[in-house]
Amino acid sequence: MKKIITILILSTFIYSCDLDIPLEDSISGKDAIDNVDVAREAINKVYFSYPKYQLELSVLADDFLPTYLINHSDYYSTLYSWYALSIRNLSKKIFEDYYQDILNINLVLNSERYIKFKNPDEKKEWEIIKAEAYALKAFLYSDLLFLYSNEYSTSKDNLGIILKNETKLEFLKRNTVDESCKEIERLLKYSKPILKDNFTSKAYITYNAALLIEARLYMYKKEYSNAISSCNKILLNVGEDLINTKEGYKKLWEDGDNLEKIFAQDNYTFFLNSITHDKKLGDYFSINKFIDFDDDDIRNGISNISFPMKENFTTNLVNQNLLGKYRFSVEDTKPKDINVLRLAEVYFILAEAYYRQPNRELSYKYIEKILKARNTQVFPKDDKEMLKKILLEKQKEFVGEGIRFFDLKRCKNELLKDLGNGIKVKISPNDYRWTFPIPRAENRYNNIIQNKNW
Amino acid sequence: MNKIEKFISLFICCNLFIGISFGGNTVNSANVYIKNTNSNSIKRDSLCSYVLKGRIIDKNTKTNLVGVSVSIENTSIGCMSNSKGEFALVLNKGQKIIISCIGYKTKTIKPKKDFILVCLEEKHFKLDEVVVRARTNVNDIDMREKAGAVEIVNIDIQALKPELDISMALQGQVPGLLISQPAELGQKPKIRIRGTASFRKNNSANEPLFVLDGMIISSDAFHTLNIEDISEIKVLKDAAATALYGVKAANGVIEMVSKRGHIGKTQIVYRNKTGITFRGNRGAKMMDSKEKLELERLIQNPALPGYRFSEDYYRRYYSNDPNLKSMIAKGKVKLDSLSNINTDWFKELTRMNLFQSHSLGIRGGTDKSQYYYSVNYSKQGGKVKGNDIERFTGRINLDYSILSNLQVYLNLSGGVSKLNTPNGVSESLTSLIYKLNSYEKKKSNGNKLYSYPTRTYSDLINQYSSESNQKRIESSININWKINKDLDISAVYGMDYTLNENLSIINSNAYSQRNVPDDAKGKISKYKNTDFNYSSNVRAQYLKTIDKHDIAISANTDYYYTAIDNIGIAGHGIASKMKSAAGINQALEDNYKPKISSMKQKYAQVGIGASAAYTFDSLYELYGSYKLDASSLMPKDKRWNKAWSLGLGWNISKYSLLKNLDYISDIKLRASYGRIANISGISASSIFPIYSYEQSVYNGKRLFSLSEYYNTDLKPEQTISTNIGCTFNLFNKLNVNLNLYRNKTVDAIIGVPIPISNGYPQLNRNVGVLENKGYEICLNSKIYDNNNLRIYSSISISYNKNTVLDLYDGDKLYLNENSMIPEYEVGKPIGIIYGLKSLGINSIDGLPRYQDSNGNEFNYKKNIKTEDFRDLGYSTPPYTGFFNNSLSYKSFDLSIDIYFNIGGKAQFSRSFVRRYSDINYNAVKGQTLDMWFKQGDMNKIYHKSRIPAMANDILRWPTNKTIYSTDMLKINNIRLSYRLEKNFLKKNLPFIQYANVNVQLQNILSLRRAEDKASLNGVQQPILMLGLNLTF
Repeated sequence: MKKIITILILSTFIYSCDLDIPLEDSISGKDAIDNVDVAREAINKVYFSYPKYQLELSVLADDFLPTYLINHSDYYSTLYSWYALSIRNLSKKIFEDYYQDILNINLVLNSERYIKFKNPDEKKEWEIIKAEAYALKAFLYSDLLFLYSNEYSTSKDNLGIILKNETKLEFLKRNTVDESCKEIERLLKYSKPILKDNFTSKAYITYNAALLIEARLYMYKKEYSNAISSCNKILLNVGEDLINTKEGYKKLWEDGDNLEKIFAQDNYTFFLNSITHDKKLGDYFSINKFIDFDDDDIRNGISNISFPMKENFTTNLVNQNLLGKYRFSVEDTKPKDINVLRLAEVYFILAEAYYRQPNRELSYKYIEKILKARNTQVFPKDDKEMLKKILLEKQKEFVGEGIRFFDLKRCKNELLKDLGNGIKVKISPNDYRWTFPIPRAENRYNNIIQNKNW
Repeated sequence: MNKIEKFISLFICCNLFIGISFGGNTVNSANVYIKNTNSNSIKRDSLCSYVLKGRIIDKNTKTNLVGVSVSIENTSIGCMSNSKGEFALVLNKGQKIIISCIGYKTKTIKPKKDFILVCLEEKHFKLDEVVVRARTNVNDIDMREKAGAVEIVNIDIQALKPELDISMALQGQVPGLLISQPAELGQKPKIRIRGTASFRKNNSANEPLFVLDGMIISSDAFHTLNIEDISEIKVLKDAAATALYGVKAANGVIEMVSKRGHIGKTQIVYRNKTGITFRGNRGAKMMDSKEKLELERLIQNPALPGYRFSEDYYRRYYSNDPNLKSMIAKGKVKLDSLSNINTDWFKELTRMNLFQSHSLGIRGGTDKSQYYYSVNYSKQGGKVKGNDIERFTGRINLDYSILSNLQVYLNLSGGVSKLNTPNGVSESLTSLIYKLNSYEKKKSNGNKLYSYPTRTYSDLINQYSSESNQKRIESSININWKINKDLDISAVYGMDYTLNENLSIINSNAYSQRNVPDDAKGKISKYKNTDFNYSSNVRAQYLKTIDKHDIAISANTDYYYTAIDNIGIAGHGIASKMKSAAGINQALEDNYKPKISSMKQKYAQVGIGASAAYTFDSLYELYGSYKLDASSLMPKDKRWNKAWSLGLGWNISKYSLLKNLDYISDIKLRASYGRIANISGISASSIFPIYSYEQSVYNGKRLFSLSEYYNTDLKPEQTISTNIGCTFNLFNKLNVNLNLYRNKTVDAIIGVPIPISNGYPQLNRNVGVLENKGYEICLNSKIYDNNNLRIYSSISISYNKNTVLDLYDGDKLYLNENSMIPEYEVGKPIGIIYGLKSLGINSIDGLPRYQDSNGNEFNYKKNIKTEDFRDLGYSTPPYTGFFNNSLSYKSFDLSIDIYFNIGGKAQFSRSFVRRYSDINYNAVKGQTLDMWFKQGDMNKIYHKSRIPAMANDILRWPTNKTIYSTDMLKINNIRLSYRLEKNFLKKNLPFIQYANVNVQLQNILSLRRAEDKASLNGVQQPILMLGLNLTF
């Protein structure tokens, strides 16, 4: 008995103490992305979390007018009036989101050496993923450049963005605007030929998307002929057809393919949730009064929805134009894909670029084409304010899609904000707030050069 | 008043019922061992006999010893000491008595007086001991207590408290142990030993380790323990005491021993606690209807009745209207009717509640085996409707002596608890107390509230409900094997399994669901989390005494394994009347799609340790321990971490010089030093890249992403602790315990901001060195003591101060990009409140004015700089303490526990001061008088209603005028108990050995230097409790 007990007790000293317990619901290690399927899933994360600041940028621009409900949203009321602190907070969120996506891209790109290919198809799939990653990075960089830098110049003092290639902790400095542009061009140059031969899905970055990203960059750099050439390549790919029916235009915001979609982000939440106060009462914003759709305009009732809302607490209900697109009525909260890049922009870029060349003839050709397709009145060919009209039509087409802010900043236009009660505030083209502040965190922990006046 | 009467009568009925049910029980046939205590029952067979009375106390702690056997030498006559350590025996002159108790040295005394005070000394491992001391905790080595800081809690008193949570009963009992009350019933209290050792403030990085019968238990398991089942609690504070537990013990250890059976007749103990929990303080006092309407008028917000129906309004907007007069008259009628409504939302939304607990314990046994069984049921209601907690626990402890040198202890315990929480989705019920206006009513006939313009009262309540269940089962076996007279092996193997279930429902008619499509209204989320722990610990111990040298050497290995498996489902679209996840609408897509979540984690830790102790002539004591632990959570190269300690003890009183002093005795000095690595709070994902799949999809494919930004250079924190202690006894009356300590945390970890361009705003890094130092003074004294009257007091003061000693990256650390003041600065403590010097409200523009360091005045337009800030005080009170007193007179006992803290500051909450934008909510009483409305308003406290948006920035800072002192003196507990006379029991209730009834009042009074204007969450509810203890 004693023997048995002794053995039993002594045996307890021996443990099976293997401490290499594998994780069961996560994957660890630097080689976590080791095959093409996982790489696709990882790049999908980048697409999924591609920053969505279209509404905020539209609020900063002049797409909207605040309604009486604006008092319920400190976030939007302070942003609308360009309150510096509010822009600072927005700037931080944007910076964080963009760089997190860039990190996720770098995690995929830096995993290349761990990826094993079973067959040539997988190798090819990887090349596509890599090309998409490059183009996505270029897209993210270019948005950052437009927001955080001043207008293009090759000067060494003109600071651009931080270019990040590693996944480890680094304390990087800002590159110049010129260096930033060169990097974006390099990334696109790499990805374009691969994407040209391999169409994947409009939920991913395709060749046309890469060209449009490139065209935007050339507009920023004032290289109009390059912009025209990029746009023409897109038109060569998709043909010259445009949507010219109400039904067709509505489909642009619905599931499924559509000829004007270029990059539509797959989305699972109601996009206008943040500007909706209450389905019964209305939104924080209505569409600005000067953005008025004719009855016959195919966009009427789709880009905008008419909704009876009080003008202030005491008055009666008046029909107001609320933003549509992502809903077809105020009751409609079904999530819809977000059109990040679409064909109409190509026409507006062409119109503007030709105008600036200057080539009024061709400029008018493209603006006329798009406006006619939309079944709306076209301004006369000899209009003295043709450029202004082009930009206004562009704003009308893209109302609520955040494009206006970039145009106002790029074209150095004055902005007029209507604060209600007859108070109007002018934001001059030289106002420091057009160029977003580098977040204080970057400044404080990295000692980076801040934008002027912030 | 009616309600109170109802409660009391209910309580009495309840007790009667219990009395009857036990009266009918069969236990009354049990023989009563203690009957010999009664001197009348002894036949006076000799003229020389006399009644000897006495009391037995512990020599070191001076606490009463209960259940000590007192017998007359060479006879079978004897008795046991009662709950106060008292006994009485009839003796013949010249007879000796033998006093014995497990764990104490047996004493034989020849009494010279008829009242004696017996001090029993704890037994230590000596060669000549025959009785094996039950040691159910393998890490509980006596030697370490000589050098380390170990506090023993008097469990008998704590068990009487009306607390469901064992930790709350420990509040204000141990110097240096800080327990803060949670905001809501059912939440875990925060427990800290000697301050916050880490930069990180969360529980996992700062909570002590909990050990029950030698087995490590989770903090969840600790909070649901039944205090009645515990016979001893030790709080280990310094490295010398805790290093044995290795890397888990850096924040101190709370060691518990459960109650066990005893050798002797079966003893049945029944305890009942029934009480009423009152509403407590109001927190902030809110306005009545009249004042609120007046404030609305002055603030001129037309959305609110105070202005909308006022004369001012009509005169401004309808000045030319022919019906102006009748409009004004109608408005006045409306205002009058509103001001007549005075709903007290505090009373409407909170309630008094019942607390009850029943526990039954049965213990007994023979030489070979002993048993202890217990069951406990308790229920406590919270202050808001629908918030309550119910718990049932059970325990079986069996002890077997298999061989004369081999003991086995088996423990099995389990518990079920259920917690209900009702809440608004966006608003908790307690916050509504401060938001609803007193002119609003529960019944509104469909009218919308002014405070919530789009809702009625019923849109605010019954929005959400949550029910949590916890089921726990735990089992362990302890083996104690004495191989020979010098060597013994003890081991503990145990496992516990906890299942936590939660079901929360957002009703489909809830206000938050109004914008949701009809088929997706309502939301149910349900999760089941399981937690399995296995632990084993084997220790071999060698004890040898050679002449004056006592040597103890021990070695151990331990192994811990944890498996967590969680699963959850959440879905929208709840079919009406469905209260389960089965009602989820699975046809929904996109953001209403049902979601499944799952988490599975397994980790293990293995450790090996050794310790040695040496005592010379009971004069010098030397102790050391070393432990190495490896955790599977750490990467291979950082897996092994160590904990070691050294301790010294010096019994000065043993010197003959001091031996003869009358006024001072038992002088003992202790010193210890140790270094413990702390891996708590470091997760695998903070050290190396861990990817996981997200719930969402993109373009029909899954998303694979990094869980956390990792730092491959991260090292565990090291806690270096130094402790110097001294105990002595003055005039045999006053026991003094002094401790000085210094805990240094090296390589302290915190999530620090990094350049955002890295993709993450934060990264866990080793940033610096933090020091906690302080002292603890504890005095225990018997102030008065004679046969009938005894008064005891214990007073303790603890002082803790923390300082940042070093930061590796410069001398300032900003945790927030917007911080004006560094959160951590070398040489400064953590928790300083920085703020501005206020000059009050400017009587001309109604805006606040401040003063900079040069004495210049400035307002919100100034770009404030670091120099403008001043140190306004310290947010954690550095001095805390308690003053606990007990008084016994005949059969009555009275005890009063007082808790205090000094030196802390807090910022007034301005959240109930309303402005134009939030005047729809009720405001704090007195705001109308203290607010600036027009030019010339002097000496106002609150700025004007509408301020420039820019001014909001400066207003968030505390100022010298918004800071108040949190100094507090609180009567934690008053208890009056009455022990039924033995004679009475014998005549009327012969089956009862011991009966005690008591009344307790808890959290009744707190004296503060400044009125607390916080919300209800910080308010502790007073409890009135009646208790009954019966031993059969």
